[in-house]
Formats: sequence, C-alpha cells, structure tokens
Amino acid sequence: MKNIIKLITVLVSFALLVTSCSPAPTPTTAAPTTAGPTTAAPTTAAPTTAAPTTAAPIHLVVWWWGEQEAPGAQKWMDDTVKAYEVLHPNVTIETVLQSTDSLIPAFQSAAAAGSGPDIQYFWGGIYTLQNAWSGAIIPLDNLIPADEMSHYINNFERSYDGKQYGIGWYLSGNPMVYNPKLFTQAGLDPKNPPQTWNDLITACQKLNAIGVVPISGGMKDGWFGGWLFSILARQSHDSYKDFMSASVGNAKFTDPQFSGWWTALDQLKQAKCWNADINSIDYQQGQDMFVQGKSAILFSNDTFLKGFADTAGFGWDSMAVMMVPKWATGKMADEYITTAQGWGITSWSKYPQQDADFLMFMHTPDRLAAWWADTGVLPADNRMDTSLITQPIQQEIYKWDTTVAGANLENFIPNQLDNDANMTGVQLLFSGDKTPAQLAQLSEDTIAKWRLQNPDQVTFFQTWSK
Amino acid sequence: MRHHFTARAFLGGFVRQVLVIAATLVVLFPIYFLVVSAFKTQSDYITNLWGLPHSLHLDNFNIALAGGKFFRRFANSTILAVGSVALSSFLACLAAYAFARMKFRGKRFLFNLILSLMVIPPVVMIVPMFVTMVRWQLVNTYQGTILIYTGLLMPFSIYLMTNFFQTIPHEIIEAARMDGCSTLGVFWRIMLPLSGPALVTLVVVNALWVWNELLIALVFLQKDDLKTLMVGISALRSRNYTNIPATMAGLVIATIPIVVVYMFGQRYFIRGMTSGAVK
Amino acid sequence: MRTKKIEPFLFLAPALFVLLVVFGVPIYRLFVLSFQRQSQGKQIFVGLSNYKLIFMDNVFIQAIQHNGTLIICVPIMVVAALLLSILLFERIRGWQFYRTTLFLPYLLPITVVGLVFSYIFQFSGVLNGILNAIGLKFLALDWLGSTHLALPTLMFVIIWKEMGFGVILFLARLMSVDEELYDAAKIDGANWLQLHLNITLPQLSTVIEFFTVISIITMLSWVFNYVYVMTNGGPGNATIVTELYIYLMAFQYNNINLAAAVSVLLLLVTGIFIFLELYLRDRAEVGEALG
Repeated sequence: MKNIIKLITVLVSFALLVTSCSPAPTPTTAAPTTAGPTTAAPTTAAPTTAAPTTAAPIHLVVWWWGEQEAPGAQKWMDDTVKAYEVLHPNVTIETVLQSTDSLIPAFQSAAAAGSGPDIQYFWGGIYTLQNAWSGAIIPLDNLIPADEMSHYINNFERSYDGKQYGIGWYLSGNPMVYNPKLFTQAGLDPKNPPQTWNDLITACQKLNAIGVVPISGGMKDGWFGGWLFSILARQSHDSYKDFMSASVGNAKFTDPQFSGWWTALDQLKQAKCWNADINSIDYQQGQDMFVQGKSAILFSNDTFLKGFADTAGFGWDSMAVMMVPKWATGKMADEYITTAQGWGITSWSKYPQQDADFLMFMHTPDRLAAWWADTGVLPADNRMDTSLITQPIQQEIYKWDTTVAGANLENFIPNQLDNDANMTGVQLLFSGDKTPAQLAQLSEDTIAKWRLQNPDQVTFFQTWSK
Repeated sequence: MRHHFTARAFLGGFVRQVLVIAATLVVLFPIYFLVVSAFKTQSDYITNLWGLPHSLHLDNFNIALAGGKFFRRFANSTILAVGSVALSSFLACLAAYAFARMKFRGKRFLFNLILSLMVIPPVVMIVPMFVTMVRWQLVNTYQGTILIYTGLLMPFSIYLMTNFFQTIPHEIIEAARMDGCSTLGVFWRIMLPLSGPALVTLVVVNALWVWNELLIALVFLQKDDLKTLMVGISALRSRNYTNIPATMAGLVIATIPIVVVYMFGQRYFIRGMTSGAVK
Repeated sequence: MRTKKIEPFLFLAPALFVLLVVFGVPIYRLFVLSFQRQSQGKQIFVGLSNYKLIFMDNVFIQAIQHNGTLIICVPIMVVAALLLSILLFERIRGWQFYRTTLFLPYLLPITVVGLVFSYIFQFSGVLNGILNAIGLKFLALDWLGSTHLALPTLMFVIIWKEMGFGVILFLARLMSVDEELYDAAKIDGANWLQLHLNITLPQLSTVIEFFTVISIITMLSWVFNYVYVMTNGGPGNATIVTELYIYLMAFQYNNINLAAAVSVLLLLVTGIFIFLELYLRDRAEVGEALG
C-alpha cells in the first residue's frame, strides 16, 4: 500500500507540474519546445507579391513526402537546404518529412487553421487543385517567370482556369517491366515483347507453363486498382478530358468506351495471368515478387527501377521496359503515363516570393544533377543533363517522358470514383464477386453519388474539364 | 490421502489444461513469428516463413535503428505518456469521486454525457482540435499534445474510476467522517489508497494507449525532434516496405520497451490489481 | 450547507474544463458543419440534406452494418475471458505463466498486430503454409482477400488483441471475491457450473458490465487502426467501418460536411442508447425500492 501512495504522490505532483504550465495563454518563453514563428500567429494576411529581399530573418517551413518512393530524397533535401542557406544567410528552412498516413490529414488541419507549412508537397492534378479550390494554395504565375516555368515537365496537371497552382519536382511514370531471362526460358522473344492483348495472353500461357507467375500485383491496400484504371482505361480514349467530362455527367461510365477496360482486365484474370494471392497482399509485395524472380511481368513505377537494380541477385540485366500491350486503339494507348510530384505555396505563407525562389533553386542545373545522382529518379525538368543517364532502360524512359508522355488518369477524376469504384471494383473482380458489366455500373453509380454529394466540386470540374 | 483421482476429475483437469494451452499457443504464435522474422535475411524469410532463422541476422536492427533517433523518440513517447496519464488519472479520480459518492442534480445525465463522448472517433476531431491548438499556440508542444491525450482519455478514466469507487463500502467512508475527515480528506486518505488495483489498471491501460497512439502524434508534433517512437516506426514501415524482416525488426524495437516495463513491473502490476482490500 | 452544493462541482471542474477544451469546440464545429455544405469556398446552410445524403450512400450503410457485425465479438470475448480467468483463478498448473502470456497481446501496438497478422493471413502466408504442410489444403482459404472471410478474420484479430484485458480485469476481481462464499457453496454440494453461475457471475457483474460497455464502444468507434492496417476497408468494401468512412470523406474525398454528419449521428445514436439504459435502470431501481 505504501508503494501505491508513493506512486500516487509522484503522479499527482507531476500532474500539478503539467497543469501549471498547461492550457491557458502560455508565455512562449516558458517552454523550450513551443512552436517556431510559423505557427506562432494565426495569420490571415493576403499573400503579398513583394519580394522581401531585405536581410530580415526569414524562416520557411517545408512539409514534404517522397523519400518513400524515391529513396535518397532526404539526403538531397538536406543538401539543398544547406546550399540555399549558404546563398541566403538570412533564410532558414525547416523540412518535415511526412509519413504516407499523415500527408493529407496534416495539411488539411493546417489549412483549416491557416497555419503550417509555407511550401507543401502535393501529388498532381486533383490532389493539388482541390487545395486551390479551397483557397489553401496560391497561383504561382506572378512568382515564377514564364520562361522558367516552361522548362518544368507536366505543368498542365496543376493548371486551372488559366492559372498555375503548383510546379513539378520529380517524375513518376508507369512502364511495363519484364524479365528477359524468364522470357527466354518460356520461349518468348525478349527483344519483341507482347504488343497486343492477345500477345499478352499467349505470353501468360507460356510463362505459366514454366511455373512462373506471368504478372504479379497486390490489391490489398487498394492503390494498385487505381493504377490499373489509369493504365488500362485510357486505351479506348483520345484525351484524359473524356473522363472529366464523364464525371460531370456528359457521358456514362457504362458506355462501351468507358467500360471496356473492365473486360480487358477480366480477360487477363480468366487467362490466369495474375498471382493467386493478389487480393491478400499489398501493392509493394506484388512488386517484390518480380525482384524475387517469382513473376515475369510487372505494371510498375519507374521510380522503383533503381531500387530493383540495386537488389542483390537482381540487376539492370534482369529487366527490360516496354509500353503496355494494347487492347484498344485510342490515341492515349500510345502514351507513356507519367505524373510530376510537386509543390505548392500556401495562402498563409508570409514570404511567397521567397518560397518561389527556393522552388526555382531546386530546378538549378546543379540541384537537378544531384537529384539524379541521389535518387536515380528523373526530375520534372527538361534541362536535366541527359549525358548523366547511362542505363539504356532509363534513357528509354526519359525519351518517353519527353516525347509521348500522357496524363495519369487518377489525377483527373474525383477521388471518390477512384476509391469506391476503381480500387474497390478491381478487388471485387479478383475476388470473383462482380462481373465487368456490374463493375461498370458500380462506376456509374459512384459518380452519380459523387455529383449528388458534391455539387460544389462538380462546378469546379466543369470549369476544369474545358 | 488428500487426492482422489477419479476419472472424471482427471478428464476435467485435462480438458481445462488443453483449453488454456490452446489459448496460449494462439496468443504466442504471432509473437513468435514477429520475433523470429526480425532475425532473418530476406531470402531466409521467403524460403523459410515460419521456421527458426538459419543464422541470427542482426542487420535488420541496424536498419531499423538507423539515424540514431531512437532515444530521442523514446524520450518523447515517455514524456507524453507520463504527462497525460498522470494528468488524466488525477483529474478523473477527482471527478469519479464526485460521481460515485456525492449527490447532485443532473449527476446521471452528466455522467452519461461524458460516457457517450467515447464514441466520437478521434479521426474526425483532428481538424477542429488543430485549429484550437494553433490559436493557443500549442501545436508542436508537449503540453498541447498532453492536453489532447488527457481529454481523450478522460471519459474512459472517469468511467473506470467511478465504477470502482462505487464498490468502496459506505461504512469505511462514514467511519472516516466520524474521525473528522473532510471530503478532500476522505478522498486522499481513504479513496485513493483503497484504489490501488483500479489505479494500476487505469495507468497501464492509458499508458499503453498513449504509447501506441499514431494519428494525433503525427499531426500535432510536426518537428523531427518531437516525434514519438510509434511515428518513427511508421515512417520506417513506409520506407523499408520491401524488406519485411527489417520492418519486423522495427516493430520489435517499438514493442520491446513496453514488454520490458511489463516484465519488470508485472509482479507489482498483478499484485496491485489483485490486492484489492475491497470485496 | 451551502458549500455542500458546490462541493461536487469543485471536484468535477478540472475534468470538465479539459473535456470542454478538447471535445467542446470540435463537437460544436461538427454540429455546425453537418448542416452546411461547401459552395464557392464558403459554407452555406443546407438543413438536413447531409443526413439524407449519407443514408442514400450504400457505402455508409455497409459501414454501419459491419460495425454491427463487429459487436458479435463482444459476447465471444466476455465468455472466453470469463472462462480463462476462472481457470487461472482455480490455479490451473502453470497459471502464473499463462497469466503473463494471455495479457501480452494487449500490450502490443495495433499497428504491429495488424502487420504481423497481415503476413500470417495472406493467401500465400504462414497460416496457409502450415495448413498445406500438414495436409489440410482444403482449409487454406484466402483469409484477407475474399469478401466473405475478410471481416471474420478481422474479428479474430480484434478478439486476439482485446481479450487479454478482459482476462486480467476479471481475474483481478475474482481474487477479491470472498473465499467463504465458495466454501459455503461447496459444502452445499454445488458443482463447478453451479458454483460459478451462482457466485462468480453475480460477484463479477459490475466488472463484466464495464468490460462489455467498453468493448461495445471499441467495436463502434475504435477499430480504425485495425482496419486501416490490415485491409484498408477491402476487399471491395467488405471491411469498411464507420470510422474509415468518416476518414475517407474528410481526408480523401474532401467532404468534411458528410464526415461531420456521420460523426454527429454516431454521437446521437450512442447517446440515445446510453440514456435508454439509464432510463431502464432507474425504472428498475424504482421497482426494487417499491418491491
């Protein structure tokens, strides 16, 4: 009993200690850990376009993500901040790497409070623009010169109603990757990978015959279903704007042009192209099967390729890239899907010009070269020194990026359609619960529901789809 | 002979033993799998899913500990847990005393109202709470996060303690009053000392919750040197996702502090919980 | 006499203050937002239309059905925890070891538990590997990848982790039950079942009620982490729950108003249940007093 009393005494005295410095207006000096200047005042000041070039100390906060898909980004970010601070002694930059789980909730909280980062990382398209619609980020047209902007790849993803709401940082594209050694074993010609859907199905049969999983994937965490939509649904269309137009009700997702991809995917499933455990493993585990030599083909992401090559027992000679075989003949079937992961400047930032200056610094030749060296991922800038790209596979991808690049569809539809129809639907296809026709209906029902629930977003989509 | 070995008693004992052993195996197997996987190489993991590792491979722990921020994060988690558990337990005991032992208008109403607060998922309160915390300049501070945790723990804590205080017999309190104890005196001298078991339970349950909490720690502590152990581990998860053994090593590291504290404190904890002076 | 009236509130004040600070503003905001919608960057009043919209959303309907299904875990947990705690209480051989082990899952972070079980239950995972190895291939099902099995699998994991708390709670209470009660009953010739039905259950009623209430609330509002880590609501919404629906609405679909409406609804429904219980109990007490 004495022990308990002691324990309580300690607890209570600690409690009193904490309460004494807890809620109420706390003087900032009392706590060594209180917020820095950015969180200090809930500022509602309108963005100024005047450049603060005075030597007054400036503190910028950057919330970012990307180490997760481009390992090495952290090192590059640290080096870039250091180099920038040397050039601008009055500026200090604080970077916070967000986890995948906190990226969106943290920013939305900050936006509601009008206090948080000056510069925020965003995925492309809708992921950026919905923050423009809510007023959380500002247009950059007056902050970054047009000729500088013209070098950034895929800027169209972030433009809305004639204004540019963000810029790209690095490129994330979706090649089809295959293992030439396994192709040879199965009697397939690694120099001539499948071109058509029938070629692909035949290849599946041959690969199955030698006991290799033809194509591997993982659906459990959902993302991959959205990727397959981006990769497959495009083939029967000429422009990504078709999907925006259908979203606002100008076409139906049950129309053959929109529903065909479900059937194409179902054909692959019927032909046993996929791993049996696809529904119970995560996206990344599906990718891992390829590196482990268990599968021969992958719908992959080009930011991962260097990581694959660095894996023990694997290497650049264990993979080759190809365009996705075609099941339809729309113009988009010839495109290489890519998106620029990038940046925006928040409406509460006190130093928008300084923010923009730092973003432009990221695109200087030295920083572009360092990015490539640190991550092996292509920067979203056409001034990248191409002589640095030594691997034929990456040269090929850069060629696609700069000649036949096309939009990642997921960035141009409402998230709700992506989650509730694409991701959910692909899982239901693989679990055998729904037919392609039922899934097309699911898409149409979901988008109708979205229109009903979000009249405001519909008007933004109408403007955006023009 | 004190023992009478009848067939029925033997069978009963056998069935019971089997039941408990089965439950223990079900409990232990995932933990076994977690620990052995952490010591495997990637290829060992793939070819030998549930067996013992072929050799003890410690690199995973190096990967998981990389950056050396472990101790800083450990300290942050500890500060948050100690602060919010102490504060919430203390305030909840005060309130529970009023609910359990005093008569006032609207008591049941207020109690049920507080109880129903438990059903609001923290997920939905994050944005408005963040706005409040910014206004009070408590974002990126221990105090702000401790305040939020304390609030979220309060309904459960009040419920538990009220429940317990109600089991303390009136006679003891009346006797103390006869001896001239004030209300506060009864609280300090009688209620709290008699509440050992309940308090220990409360502290353990709440400390575990804070230690393992992720979402609030992620959003409200946006500075690298304020991050908690669980946040660090979750970042590790998204970075080393291809390397399952390294992820497992990270999970083991996140869990070890709790298990060590439990193992050391277990005697005290169990005794505390079971030493109820109250029937 | 005057101080007597204020006294309870002096004890309550600090707790109420913290509750008000942490819950007050968010709940007020949620109420307001649930009657509004976003229009041209502003929130405009729309009456009850958000509430209508959520009931027209079949994903939401699925989510509440799943929360309802999860409540099945509660009686299973209570009965199993009772049985185990009684066996431990009766000093079954090795009971101290079992006591330590059975509480271990409760110590582990949900993230850890969820990840480990994901690897165990995946189609090509540990469990099916073992089943195949011992010739039970027909039992090697797609535990997480099939729409019929994902929710039961999730329930198993929730029970696995949460039950230890019940065992320890019940055991602690059992330890303080008066031994004489049992001795007297044994002399009267009561068998094992009668002994526990007549003595253990009534003696443990408060703590059983406590554990039941806490578990029901867990199933309604605190399962987000399990779902998020293990299935993310899939396959095909087979494991979506209310919390995940709220999370998706608020943070993925940018529709804070519908998220708010669901939260308010959750609060109201639970509130009604809790007050109904209060009402029934008061009636029962009045009945007892009169009887």
